[in-house]
Amino acid sequence: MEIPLKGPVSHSERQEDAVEQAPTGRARCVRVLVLDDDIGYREIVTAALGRHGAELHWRGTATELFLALEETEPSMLILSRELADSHPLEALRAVRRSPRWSQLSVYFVTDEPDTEFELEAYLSGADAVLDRRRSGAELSARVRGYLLRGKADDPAAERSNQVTRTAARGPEQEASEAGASPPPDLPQLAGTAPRPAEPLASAEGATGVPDVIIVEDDPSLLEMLEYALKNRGLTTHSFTDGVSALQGLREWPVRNAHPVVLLDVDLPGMDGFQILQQLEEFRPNVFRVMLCTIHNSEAAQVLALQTGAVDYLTKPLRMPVLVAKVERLVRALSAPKN
Amino acid sequence: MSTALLALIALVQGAFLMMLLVLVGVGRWLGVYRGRRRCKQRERVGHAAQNWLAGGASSKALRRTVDSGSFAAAAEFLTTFGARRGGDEWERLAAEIQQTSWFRTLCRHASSPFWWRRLGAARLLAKLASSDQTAIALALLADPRPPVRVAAAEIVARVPSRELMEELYEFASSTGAVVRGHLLELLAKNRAVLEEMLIERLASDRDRASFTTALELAGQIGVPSLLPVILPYAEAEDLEVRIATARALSSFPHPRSGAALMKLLGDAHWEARAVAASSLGAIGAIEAIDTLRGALEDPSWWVRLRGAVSLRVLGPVGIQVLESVGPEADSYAYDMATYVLRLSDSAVLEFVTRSISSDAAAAADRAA
Repeated sequence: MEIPLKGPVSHSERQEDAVEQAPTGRARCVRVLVLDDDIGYREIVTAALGRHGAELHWRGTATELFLALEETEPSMLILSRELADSHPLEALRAVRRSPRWSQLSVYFVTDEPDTEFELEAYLSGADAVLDRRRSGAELSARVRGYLLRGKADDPAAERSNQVTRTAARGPEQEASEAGASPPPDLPQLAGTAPRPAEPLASAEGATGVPDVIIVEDDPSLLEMLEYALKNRGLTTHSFTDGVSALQGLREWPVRNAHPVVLLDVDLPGMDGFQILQQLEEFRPNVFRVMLCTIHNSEAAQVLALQTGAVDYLTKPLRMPVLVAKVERLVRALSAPKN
Repeated sequence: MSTALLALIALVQGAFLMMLLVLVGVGRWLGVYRGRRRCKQRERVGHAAQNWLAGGASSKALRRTVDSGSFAAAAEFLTTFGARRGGDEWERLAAEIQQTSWFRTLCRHASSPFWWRRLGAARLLAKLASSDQTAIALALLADPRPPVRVAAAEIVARVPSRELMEELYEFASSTGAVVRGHLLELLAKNRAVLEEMLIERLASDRDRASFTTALELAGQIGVPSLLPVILPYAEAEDLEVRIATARALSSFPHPRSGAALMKLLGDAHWEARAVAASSLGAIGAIEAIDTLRGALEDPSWWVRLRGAVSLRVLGPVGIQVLESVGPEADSYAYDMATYVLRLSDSAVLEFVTRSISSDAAAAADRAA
């Protein structure tokens, strides 16, 4: 498989190499079902995903969505908001209600992403809402990230990744991860939220790992994030500067969990991109990092996704959208694998 | 005599008819010819732009192609291409187009006596302008034709100057709900300038329409530094200000917002109570469970509905509270609890997202 890389991605290349040598001997192929009647967009998607060897299936309508899902068995669904004869949000909700497809990655593409639609889409369970005009590079980076993370979920690939990780981290860190208690220099978990009666089936209950780790230097924003996430029954832990965040994240014993990290880019000491690169270098595929930043450029967004972030949120953060995204990600990570 | 006259008239009529047919034919042919020529020119500009973006053509070649064709051909290409492409690729192209004489013509169109030319210029500048065109954008925002003003408002997304933002803010405060919503979304895209502007406006603005607009914008961007600025207005004397504050607080999940909203749930006016009930659900205020339970017995149907929906939104804890409301308690509370529990998740979701925008629209209409 050939994936063109840009930016500082040597760690990912190494990771890919490890996966390519996995005993299965078969490269994972991502099957994408696209529901869109825009012929022009087809070129963009084909160019963006074709380079990753993605298998594309097109339908011009969502009226026979489940039939198309059964036929193509995709690992990713791209839904157009502008489908002429369908209510795409209803289609998404139906997908999320379906036991078989509830964990499917669903991306919306739209000509004009307005805030009301975005909010409704994320609350309905969308993984991302992409602006059609700039979605080519973003889609490509997301699929690449999906492939890398997906491979890590394969047992064979996981074994291979373990070799890479052990070599990178050293035995002390391995021992630390295998232990039952967090390192003594780490602060206690702040997650004492008033949980709902039926909390999320998160990793926290079993392992002491928080659902969300927040790295944010603005105390008032941090307070709002903690309040919003705790009220949704998610446990949190916070860092307020880059250096302590990197140290904490490198040493945190997460076991089999994949905590979500809300990582600010402009941090004192070390910026979010550097932290993300270091994490991908030393603990690849351990955390699910969502970068939060005021930088709105396409290049920064693509770089973040290529470096290993699962999502890229621009400030001002819309709290309901952010909470919906984080909650969905935590649920997806804690859901049993098919 | 009369026969000759009639024959003459018939001949003249016939001649006119022939001329008319010829004119129609020539007109059609001209239309097709021009259309084809423009299409070819548009394709030529398209090829040049694509080549340039791919690194296969020089900037000079691109500029020459754009300048050599008709104005309309390049305008058509940039409109359609700009609708499909965005991000850094488009920005590179826009910067190059700004160097052409075609772009200078476009800027001249912005001050044309014909309103449709100004409209076309506003639409294209919304895709191509840079901070050098601030003065042109300001002139277009003050245009007497509303469509030109609305099209020019889009320029603010590319040119985040304080002057332009202030002008757009005034325009948004004085217009109807639908256009206003669109303009506020455009303003909210420039967070840094807007944050500073709102802090000043909320401290000094005394005009109600403008003040409630500031509160609505504060709610749209949800920047934490605005929370201490808007919290005192939860106790304002003006009902519209209290309602706008309650709505804005739905974007600030914070214990202080929760406390202020719980207080507003005891407001004398039902509208303030209803918006406060919705906002408590939006910020996920678990600590407000008991207060929201109390809202189920409110004399106003709207407050009961929003209180119940908020309890449902709060998740299992709120749903438990709704389920615990029995028929032996307040019958209105029981009716509302059973009604909301019966709603599908999709219906609750639609209610939550729609109620936020419809509240804002209603408030804008009242303030205007």
